[in-house]
Amino acid sequence: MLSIKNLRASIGDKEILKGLNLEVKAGEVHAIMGPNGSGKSTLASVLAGREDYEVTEGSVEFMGNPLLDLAPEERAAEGLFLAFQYPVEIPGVSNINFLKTAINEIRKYKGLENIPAKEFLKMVNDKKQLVELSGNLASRSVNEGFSGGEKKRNEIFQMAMLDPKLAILDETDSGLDIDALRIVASGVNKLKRPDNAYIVITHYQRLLDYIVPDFVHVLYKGRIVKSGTKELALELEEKGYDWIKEELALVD
Amino acid sequence: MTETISPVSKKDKFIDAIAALQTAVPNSFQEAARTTLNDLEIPTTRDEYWKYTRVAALAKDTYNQPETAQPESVKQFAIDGLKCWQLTFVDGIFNTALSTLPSDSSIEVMSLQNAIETKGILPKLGKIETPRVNFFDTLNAAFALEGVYISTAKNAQIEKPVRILQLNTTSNTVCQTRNYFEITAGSKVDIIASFDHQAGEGALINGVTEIIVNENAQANYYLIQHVGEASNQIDTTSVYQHKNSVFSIFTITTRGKLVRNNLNLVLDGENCETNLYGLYLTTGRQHVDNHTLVDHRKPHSVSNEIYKGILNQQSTGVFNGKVFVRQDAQKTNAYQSNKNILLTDEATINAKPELEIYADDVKCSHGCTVGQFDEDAIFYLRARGITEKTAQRLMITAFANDVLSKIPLQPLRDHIERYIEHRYEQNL
Repeated sequence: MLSIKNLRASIGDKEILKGLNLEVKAGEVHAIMGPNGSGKSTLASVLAGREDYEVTEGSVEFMGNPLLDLAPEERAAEGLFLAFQYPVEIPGVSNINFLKTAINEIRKYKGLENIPAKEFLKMVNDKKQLVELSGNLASRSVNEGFSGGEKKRNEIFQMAMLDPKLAILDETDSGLDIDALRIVASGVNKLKRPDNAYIVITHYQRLLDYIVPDFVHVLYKGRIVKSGTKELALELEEKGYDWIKEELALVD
Repeated sequence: MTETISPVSKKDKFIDAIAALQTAVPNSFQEAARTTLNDLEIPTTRDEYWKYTRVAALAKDTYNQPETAQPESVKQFAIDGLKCWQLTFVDGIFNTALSTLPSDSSIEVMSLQNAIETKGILPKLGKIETPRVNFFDTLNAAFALEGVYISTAKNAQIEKPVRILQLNTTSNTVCQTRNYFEITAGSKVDIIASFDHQAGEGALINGVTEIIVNENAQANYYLIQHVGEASNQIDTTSVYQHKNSVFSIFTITTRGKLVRNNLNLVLDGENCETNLYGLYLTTGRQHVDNHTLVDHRKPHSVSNEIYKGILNQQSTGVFNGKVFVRQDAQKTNAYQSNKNILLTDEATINAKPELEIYADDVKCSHGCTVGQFDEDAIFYLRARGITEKTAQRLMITAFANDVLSKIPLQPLRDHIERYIEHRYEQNL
């Protein structure tokens, strides 16, 4: 589904991703962990198409096609979804109008007609229950005045509405209390299918108790330096990142 | 010593050209204005009040008489879903066939001429004192022939809005209408002044509207400016509020080569509420200038001003908002905000808030911003599959929403929203 080869990316003069490799197949959940500043959020931004970052080397294939030449909206239409670490507040744009526009633009991209109003409303009602979003939230301006937890639930709600092939959850657990974390995780688990995949970026093992990964990768200084199964996450939680840094120092 | 004969000035040629279009004998009000006009000059950018707006090109030395052929219908200018009384003016001249006047005793609507003859309103015209004497409103006073007189009955709640539609069909005309609205105590009314054009370009539209809002009365006035791309519009609206009255004006400017609005509000009673909402969308080489003046004369009143601009291409905007709080006007609460989005590097805005406060127990605030789109918001929308163009359109609608959401007439609000969406789909 996703194949990242030797990806290098910079912001300004600063190189952040330094030859990153990652393969994600349908049905898999990958967790990416790593200390602050290792490049986790940069990876999410580069994949989603944020223009602040310049890709200097390497390739990314998504569903067998090159991803990096596509505009952010084309990536979304092809089935890539980024759940933002900091969802943006957009006063004056209603959450519902925003979602309807997004769905219709994606349908247009695929050569489909606009979604019938009835079908859309039914979908909104079904999906908002998934993340226990109240009716009221769905009609307010995008993220405006939402609490941290509501914003993250809104991200998962949008994900449910857009039904992507690959979703990248960028520190979706940050700023969530344990109840909100459970709601978000259970939403993700209900949306998990053999034909879609997840990349879960997180600092803490806690989220991975609820969203169980098939693979755990450690991102350090812009590269994936260690991969393993969910036990690796437990080990990181217990021992921190220093032992990995030490291992690397030995190798160097 | 030789005597030189001074050449005929640009102003004189301009006034002669306007006078040449008229045969009617001037009334006393017009006579007086013509005398005043002798001492006034066409404003230049040396005048502080006209610093950023050059009007010399508006003063031509010939204008056309309006064509006698009239449009058969004005359906294309209707606002979907809006039931209203309508007065249609073509090239500044009232067209009975294209109008539907109220037949209700709760509101009187007639031509200004008729009101002068039957209501004796001549002494009431031009009486709202404002510190800004203006060449163009004097020009209007001197030569305006037609206009609308509206008077509501005491305590009447007028359900159906009155719409004054002014169209241009002849090119290079001067349209000077003068309106006088008396909102009688305790009544409530919505009045829409829509400007549009069918074919006539290069017109000078110089209108004056005076509105008296009496005790406990409430009026909403909508000034919808969509004149021809090569036409110029100068509007002077003066409002006089008595105690406990509420007045809201919505100035929506979407077209016109040069548009200058002089809005003067006098709050001469306690507990007045005044709302000034403005939205200007400019493109090409358009120039839109809003000068507003809120004169708080008595205590315990509230004024609330929100102007928003979206400026595209090489267009320019001016916002000058003056708030005057007199010594007696204690406990005044005056709020002013002007926000602008520049869509290109070439677009410009000159914004200037002016607060003059002589009372010591007041709350006044003002704020002004000029910026581009929030790039994080655009990226967020695009990351959900929304194209950049649609994302910008959503952001524009959202930006305009602060003003549009205040419009109480839903069909009018929808009409403007549809227009904005359509306009930015075409990248204007």
